[in-house]
Amino acid sequence: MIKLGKYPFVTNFKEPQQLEDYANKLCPDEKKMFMLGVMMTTNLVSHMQSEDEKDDLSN
Amino acid sequence: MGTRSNTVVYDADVNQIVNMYRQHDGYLTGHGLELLKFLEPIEIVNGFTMGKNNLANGAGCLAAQLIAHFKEDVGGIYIQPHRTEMDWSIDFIYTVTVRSDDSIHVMVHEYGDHLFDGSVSEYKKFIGGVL
Repeated sequence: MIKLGKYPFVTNFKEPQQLEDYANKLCPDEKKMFMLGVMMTTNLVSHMQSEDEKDDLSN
Repeated sequence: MGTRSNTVVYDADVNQIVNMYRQHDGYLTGHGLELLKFLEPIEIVNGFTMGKNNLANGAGCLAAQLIAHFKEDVGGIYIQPHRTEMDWSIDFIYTVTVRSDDSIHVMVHEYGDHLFDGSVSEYKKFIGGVL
């Protein structure tokens, strides 16, 4: 699968501070788009992690 | 079970306007391609005159046209809230944002995997790459 992104994907940032620094350099409109992508990705990932934890507890 | 998808429309202030849940064919070569065909001719305007085709008067108008375009019969397509804690059964999430400069920004996630973000013309290249 080829991935294309106008903005760097969340996984490209090793530390939260790096992500924040990048976001703060964007103009307000660009920052909204970038942070929407971050929100969508992190919500999905955190939900999947919580589902995995539930599975581990039930096993 | 079909490939389930959400298509979420946001305005420029990242307010969620609508979420369209589709029960089947949510994969890139299915709904992803159909979404491209819907979005590609559309021009976002702020005010309009009658008689011109393929216009959407802001994010709310685009969201209404999205539903009108995809909903054909009972079932299959539903309007439902897009929850921040995602339903595990949603395979693909397509995020469509009308930006303050009246351009359309598209994002695609497959589960937690961020596959794409960019303009509609960039989205066309992305979908072309998976066909």
